[in-house]
Amino acid sequence: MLKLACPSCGGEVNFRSKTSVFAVCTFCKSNLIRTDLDLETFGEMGELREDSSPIQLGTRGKFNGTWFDVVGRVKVSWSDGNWNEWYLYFEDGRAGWLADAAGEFAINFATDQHNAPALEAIATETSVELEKNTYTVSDIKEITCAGSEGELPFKALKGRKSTSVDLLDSDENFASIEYSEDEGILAFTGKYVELDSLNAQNLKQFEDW
Amino acid sequence: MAKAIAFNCPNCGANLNITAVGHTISVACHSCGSVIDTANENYQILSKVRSKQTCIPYIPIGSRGKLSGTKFEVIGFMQRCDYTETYFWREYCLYNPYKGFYWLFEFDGHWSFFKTIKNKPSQLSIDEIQYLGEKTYKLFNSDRCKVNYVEGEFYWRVKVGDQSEIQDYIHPPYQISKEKARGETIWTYGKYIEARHIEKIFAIDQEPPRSQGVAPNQPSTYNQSNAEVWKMAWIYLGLVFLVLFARYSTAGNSLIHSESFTFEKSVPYSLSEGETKNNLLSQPFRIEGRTSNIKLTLKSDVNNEWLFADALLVNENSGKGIPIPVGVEFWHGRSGGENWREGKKKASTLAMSVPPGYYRLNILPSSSSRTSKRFGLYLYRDVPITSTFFWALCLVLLIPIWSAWRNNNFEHKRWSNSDFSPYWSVEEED
Repeated sequence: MLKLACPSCGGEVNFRSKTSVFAVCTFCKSNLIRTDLDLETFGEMGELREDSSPIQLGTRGKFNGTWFDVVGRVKVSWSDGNWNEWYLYFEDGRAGWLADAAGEFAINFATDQHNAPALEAIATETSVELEKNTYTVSDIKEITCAGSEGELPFKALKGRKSTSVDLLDSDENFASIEYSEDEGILAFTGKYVELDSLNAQNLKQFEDW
Repeated sequence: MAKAIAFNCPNCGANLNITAVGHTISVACHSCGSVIDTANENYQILSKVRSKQTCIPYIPIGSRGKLSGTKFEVIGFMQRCDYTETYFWREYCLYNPYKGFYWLFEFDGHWSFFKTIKNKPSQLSIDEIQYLGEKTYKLFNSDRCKVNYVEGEFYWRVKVGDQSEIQDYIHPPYQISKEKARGETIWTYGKYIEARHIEKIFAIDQEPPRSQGVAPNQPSTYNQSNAEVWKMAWIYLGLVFLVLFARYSTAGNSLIHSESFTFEKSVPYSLSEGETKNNLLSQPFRIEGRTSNIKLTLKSDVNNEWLFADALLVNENSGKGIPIPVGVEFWHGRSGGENWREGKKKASTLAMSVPPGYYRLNILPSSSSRTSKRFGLYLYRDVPITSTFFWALCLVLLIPIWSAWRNNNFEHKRWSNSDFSPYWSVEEED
């Protein structure tokens, strides 16, 4: 684990994953961009709006036999709602994502994006081939980063805009493609999961539940 | 710890709640019908359009109950209808922070529990889909529908008049619905639930709406597959044979009395009313054991004549008589160059439920014979009756036929509400 000091408040900033290049200071909420061992402040994130996700930074879980820690989060909003993308650091050093949209969860990993079609070639119901699997586009959303916390592999600044495409197949495979100005095309594949199947620990508590 | 949010309706001031904090994008006020945008803290009124009709949810918003092992809270309710406003159904949005959103549908008093699925069923043909590579679902309904009444929390900006396209596919008790709304295709998978379970799960002290007709995904009460019904029939058949076997092997079927008599032609038939002069009386005999049946067999060498014994089995102690008439006839001759014969020289009659005791036979014989005629009477006790088993066999075979008929009837009723009925063409031909 890489421990650095926040240039703004001096608080400890942890980087579990080598792939993380961005973090939000736990103490002063500064946006921090990492270049090797240097941290640079890039404005302030501010508080994230409360939501009902049962996941939080520090939640632990197990996927395909490997434990992971939730180390970062991107809160995404679109015109009619919002969801969370939790950044996972696996025991074996891999990094992944836990998509969390209204109680629907999917563990997914970045995959070769070269097969992903151009945004213009995509519409709902079109077929897309990713990693030898045929998916159907279920929806296309214009999304905005509503905030982030923890450590992340890209500059997840508030207001970052992108287009998110969700794909379904006839099994419980998950796939999504993100189109953004800074990062270009990013493709992810994985599996829809039930929260119960992840042996999740340190979940958020809800009053009366 | 995360908590629900309470606020006041910006239009009428009624107390409103947000349980699914962060997920809930709009809240419809139960009091004034305004829909409030809760995507941000401004709580702006999205619409003030009151639905033409109000609709009281059977399960009040805020109720909690356990379904499929998970505790859910009812947070939203809407009534929807088809485009022609003929069919109205109600949908309850259920929420659990760890499980997300589920739905309860109610139509004509029939309930189903639905969840969104993320694995797209594959289209086998225009009217058939397959889910998880297993069951196939038949298209039941395809329609445009609209929202007619809303109340409570929704994870989208809900509005009375919202339209969507719905296709329902069924494999009772399961149903898969495909809905195109808000630029998305949403697949839901549900199962039929008995109304009385709903009443119990949410502890509602009011009768659920009466169920009418047959719901699209209502399991048939007669839904056993043909194979199952036949299996049952075979089991019953086996049982019948077992009983038959047991009956035969335990049946006494013993001769308890036999005696010869002579029908005397010379004796005047009947001198006057009540005269029993030519009555014949047997020797007394004892019937032992439990109450059982008695078979009386008559044998006589009749030759182109008949002989009838109007016998009465009389209990020596009580004097009570059980009628047990028996007769034989035998005819033969030659006509059209062929020999023919008809009738038998031996015949039997059964008397059921004869209690043990001392008995005599009181016989009034008659015959067409011109001479005296000898005849023998044989009494058998505890005789197995084969015809009973024959009828049992027929009944057993009726089970699958009857079941298939009932099931067919049920399916007809189910599909009578569908534009895609497999019985449709058949009915038109009728």
